[in-house]
Order: sequence, then structure tokens, then C-alpha cells
Amino acid sequence: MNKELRTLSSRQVTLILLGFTIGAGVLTLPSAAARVFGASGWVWVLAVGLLFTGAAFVAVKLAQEFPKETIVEYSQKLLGKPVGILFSLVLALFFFSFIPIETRVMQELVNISILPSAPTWFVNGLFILTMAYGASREIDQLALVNEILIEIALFVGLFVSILALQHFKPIHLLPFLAKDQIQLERLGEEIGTAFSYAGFPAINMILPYIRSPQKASTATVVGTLLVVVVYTFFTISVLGVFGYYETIHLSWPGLELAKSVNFEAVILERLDLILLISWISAIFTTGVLAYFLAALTLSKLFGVSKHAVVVWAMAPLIYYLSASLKNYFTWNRWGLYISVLTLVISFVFLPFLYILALIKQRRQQRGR
Amino acid sequence: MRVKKLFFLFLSIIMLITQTSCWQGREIDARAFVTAIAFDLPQEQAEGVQQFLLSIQVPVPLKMAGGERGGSPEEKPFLVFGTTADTVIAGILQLQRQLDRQLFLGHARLILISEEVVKVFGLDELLDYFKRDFRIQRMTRIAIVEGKAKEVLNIQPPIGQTPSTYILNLISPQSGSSFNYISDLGKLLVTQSDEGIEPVLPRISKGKETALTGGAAVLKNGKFLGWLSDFETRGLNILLNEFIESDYQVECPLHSGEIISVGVNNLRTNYRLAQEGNTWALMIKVGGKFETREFSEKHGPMAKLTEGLERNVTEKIREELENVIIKAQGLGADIFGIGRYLQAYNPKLWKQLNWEQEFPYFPIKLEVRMEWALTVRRLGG
Repeated sequence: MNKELRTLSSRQVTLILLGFTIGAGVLTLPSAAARVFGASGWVWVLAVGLLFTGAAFVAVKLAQEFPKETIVEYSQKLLGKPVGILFSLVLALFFFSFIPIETRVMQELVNISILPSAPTWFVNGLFILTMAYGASREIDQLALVNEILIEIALFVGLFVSILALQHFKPIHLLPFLAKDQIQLERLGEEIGTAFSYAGFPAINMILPYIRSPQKASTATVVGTLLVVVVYTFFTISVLGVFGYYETIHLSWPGLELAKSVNFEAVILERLDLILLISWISAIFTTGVLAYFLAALTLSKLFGVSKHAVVVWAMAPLIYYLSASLKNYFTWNRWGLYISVLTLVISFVFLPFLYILALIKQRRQQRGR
Repeated sequence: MRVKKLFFLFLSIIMLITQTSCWQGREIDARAFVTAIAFDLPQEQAEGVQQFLLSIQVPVPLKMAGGERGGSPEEKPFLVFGTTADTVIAGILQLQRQLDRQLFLGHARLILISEEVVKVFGLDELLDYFKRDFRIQRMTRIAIVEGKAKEVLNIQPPIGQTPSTYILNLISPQSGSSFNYISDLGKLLVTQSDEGIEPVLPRISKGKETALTGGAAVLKNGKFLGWLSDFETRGLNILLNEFIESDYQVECPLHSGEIISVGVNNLRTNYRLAQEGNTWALMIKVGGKFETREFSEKHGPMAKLTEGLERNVTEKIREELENVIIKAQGLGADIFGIGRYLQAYNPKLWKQLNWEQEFPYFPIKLEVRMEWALTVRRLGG
């Protein structure tokens, strides 16, 4: 790998993981968690998050075994060319699947709060064009944009969550782990929570661009843990303010939280709008990074020298798919599919590749 | 290079067209902002049809401005329109036919519902639209009106402000009155959906020229059960730890028939479950401080008053608390959230109880202790 390409600092890597992971999923996460784990839904969010942190650690360790290559290259070395190519295609599909859903959620947020009558072609079209323009740039430029946008979104989200604590009642988080509230049979329906943690495989594509690859494991684990902290705090805030029964009926608990905040300053009376506008930045960072990673995976797989070509070629398909996710229930179902893919990649594919890498390394050591 | 230039030109044109304004932007003077909504029963009801009277209050900006172009003091700076309908949407569509501006409910901050209409329709049916429309704020205040809600919308505020702001202030924390129960749409939804707690909403009625507040409506399963008096509402606020501050009048412990006014501003209520043999009871411990504010006799604060005054204030508060507990148990509505407390802290016991039947007879024991926090400006008469 050319040294000039190694431009990303550890802080940027952490923020890329935050920017990619935190997007649309968190807005619906507390409701899904409450439906499975009741008033202790935050425990579910925390436990799943810690599991994913473990998976992220395995993923970055795998990437560090091949510091000069992306997963597209080393998966072919480990699995053989045909299976490796197939695996890379699944990975490209994984990254790609985020883009239509993020676009569709963004459209819904714009329609429900800012521009109620704006048509799909206008909202989705402009969003996809903006994402495509961003994704056609290089990773260092994307990292800079991501740094600004995700920090703004997180600051506003934290501000709203802290203000909402004025309505927080600890009794809403009780009873703790009550058997009659835990509905594991709904796990299949609500597995969509996994979609909210799906960002860390990005490290297997961006490691060759990191200035100090040896620091990548710390950056990845810190990034994923920060996501866990943000999600858990947010879920505790929502459950503490609304209680379990109200939370399960809310489709956008994050927005409802902002709507219930009373901030005695006229200009900030509609905090939900401020949260919404800043959260579009968070959705954009997820979308644009997924777009970039999907295009990068495909361009490396098919030997296309400029990933920008793949980016623009994908735009019509993204538009078609985002427009076909016609309502809340449809895109939630799509989220379910991505979650299944996330679980398979995180807990089967990447650990399996890591084991293969370790076996290969030992064989090489014995050979010497 | 040329292609790149053309691309940027194309992008600039798109940006120029799309970024100058919002999609289908609507001018502010093309909108009629609804500030308050009222529900009543219509005077006449066609047979077999059940409809409510939906009224909206819309401010008239020109008449609100005052000065040369403003309206005369006799002219009201707002209009109240009404129509009968069976759903809120149908009512809004009917009202829209009378107005050349588009009705906008995003700034509605007050919903008034008459006692009669809650009895017939229930809150759930009336508020369904407001729960689902994204533009409605969870901070929108809701009150139950003793009498006609539309009449309250027509009250001209005594001090220059918009009528909805006037009523809103009366039922908001800034009213500073513990006789009011402070609630809003968000709090109502949370209480309604929770198990083991029933919602309460503030009461409003029309006085001679002003609106009157104080007291609260007790609701269960969306239906109106009964009223709490001003003093019962104050007791409820204490038991819910939502008490702001209030004045109490007690008899002077040294001189029978003389009155001492005390200000109570620091109260704390704690719940605890206790088991006595096979029965469970809820122990409610209320502790707080008061200060003396006015004496009807010529003496002022004296050290020898302490014990007797503390006893009298304690008894006064205990009496109010007992009254509200008796009222709630009589109505069969757990407005204190005792069931919710049981569910949180003793879920096993909660599962064994049929709370609907148990609550009216559930033993509640009160322990009140008030202390005289002496801040004295003047001793003697």
C-alpha cells in the first residue's frame, strides 16, 4: 500500500465507525428493545452492543493480519478465489443494502416534519445525488465531512436527551427484567435492533488507509463502545421518560422525546425540528459511507480503477429501491433482512475468516 | 474538462432552483393558526347520530397589534369557529370551508374538553387525531371544562394577552397554584398507557368575566369519573411529589378561634410497602417545612407556639391527604400510581392482585410530619 494513501488518523477511524453505525436505526431502537425486553429494554441494547463490540474486535484483528489489503483481497487468499469473490459480493450487498433504507427513512423524516408534500423524486433524488457526489470522493475527504456532521448530530442528540431528563422517572425502568415483560418470542420480529450496530465491518475495508494500522484495534473498539454508550443512554432516556407501555406504541421515540422537551427559549421551542435537521446529517454520514464502501468493494472486486464510476452507476438502482420501500412497515422489513445479514457477517463470516487467517499464519510459522 | 464544467453548471442550476425556497412553501399570511381547540356536545343531536361540537380559536393578527391600525378595545383579537362532526378531521374540513386561509394546528397549545363530551365519547376517541398528527406537540395542555368549553374559548383575558395564552398560563406551572393539577398531552398519554395509574386533568370553568381554575377531573379508561375539589387536588399534588407551594390557614394553638397563615414550600413524599401478617399496606411518609406568614391575633411568632403549630399544620395536611385518598378509593381510580409502585417494587404481589377490585380497599397508612422553618422579619405584634 502506498504510504500517501495512509491518511486517516485513529480519531477519524473512530468517528467513521460512529458516523457509519449511528443513523436511522437509533430513532426506532428503544421501541424495538422495549417490545422484547420491556422496561429493561436498555439491558438488551447494552448486551447486544457488548456482543457486537466483541465481534468488532475480531473484525479488526482480522484486518490487522493483512494491513496492506482490504477484505476483498485477503478473503480470496483465505477462501480461494471463487468463494472469496462470492464473499466479497455478499459484503458489497451488505454495504449497499443500507443506502436505500437510509434514503427512505430520510424521506419519511422530511415528509413528516419539514416538507409534508415534497415528492419522492425531489427528496430522494437530491439526497442520492448528494450522497453520490460525496461517495465519489476519496476516503480522506469523506472522513473530514463525517467528522463535522456526526459531531453536530451527536451533540444535538445528547442535548435533547439531557433536556428530556426533566421528565425522567426512575420507576419507569422498573420492574427490572420482569419475566412477563420479556418476550423472547418477538426476537425474530425485533431482530432489527442488530441493524443499529452494523457499522464496524467498515474497518475491514478502510484499514489500508489508516496512518497507524497498529492503533486500529483501539480505535475500532472505542468507536463501537461509544455507539453502545450512546444507544444505551438514549434508550434509558426514552424508557425513563415515556415508560415501557407508551414506548412500544411510538414509531419514532427519538422525535417524540424532542417533542416533549420544554426549553424556555422561543427560538428553540420546536426542538424536534432541530433534532431532525441534525439527524439528517447522521443519516447522511451512514448513507454516504455505506455508498463509498459498497462502491469500493465492487471496484476492487472487478478491477475498476476509479470507484466513482461504480458510485454513479449505482445511483439509479438506489433510487428505484428507495422508492419501492413504500411505507414504514416495508422499510422495517428491509431492516430485518439487513439485520440477518449483519448477524451472519459479524458472528459467522468474519470470525471464520479470522480463524482461517490464524491457521494460515501458524502454518507459515511452522514452515519457517 | 468540458464535461466537468457542464456538470457543475447543471448542478448549479438545480441548486439555484431548489435551494431558494421550501417545496410548496406557503406564505404565513395564507395560514390561519389555530391556538386552541374545544370539544362540547351540540345543543341538538339528530336521532341515531352521535356528534360533538368542535370549536377552534384563531387569532386575528391585525386586531392583536393595537395602535392606529389595531382594532378597538371592544373588538376581540381572535375568532372562534365551531362545527358539529363525528371525527376531528371531518370537523376541520367543515371549518376549512368557512375560511380562505389554510388551518394550521401545529401551534395549537390548548385543548379544552367539556365534562359532558368526555362522558359520552371518552378521551381516546377525541384525542386520537392529536396522538397521530406529527405537528401536534406533546406539550399541548389539556383541561376538562365544567360547563361549555366553547364559552371558555370566548373569554377575553383581563390583562392584554392572547386568550389561549391566558388560559395556558392559568394551568401551567407559572400559575404557582397548588390547586391546579399540571398536565399536558404527553403526560396524559404516558399515564393512560401505563398500568396501575389513572390519569387526572386540570379543571377549568367560566367565571363571570374570567376563567376559573382549581380542581381536577379523574378519568378511567378514557371516561370521566368525577371531580377533585381544590383542596383534594392540592393533596394529590403532595402525594405525587408535584406540589409547588401553598398557604394553609390553621388555628393558633394558644388562642382558640385565631388564625395563623403558614406557607408550605418544601414537601417530600415517600412510598414504602409494608407487610403486617398476611396483609400488605402502603406506608406514605410526608415530610416538609413551613413558615408563618400572617397572624390574625396581635402576637407574632413565639417559641412556645412551635409544638402546637407544628401539630396543627401536620393535622391540616394529613386531613387533606386523607380526603383525596378516600375520594380516589371511592371512585375506584388509582390516581396516585400505587399499582404502578407495586408493579415496580413488588411484581410478584402485583401479579397476585386484581388491582381493579383491590385498590378501593387497599390499606394506605399516612405519616405526616411538618416542621416550622422559622424565617422571621418581625417578632411581636
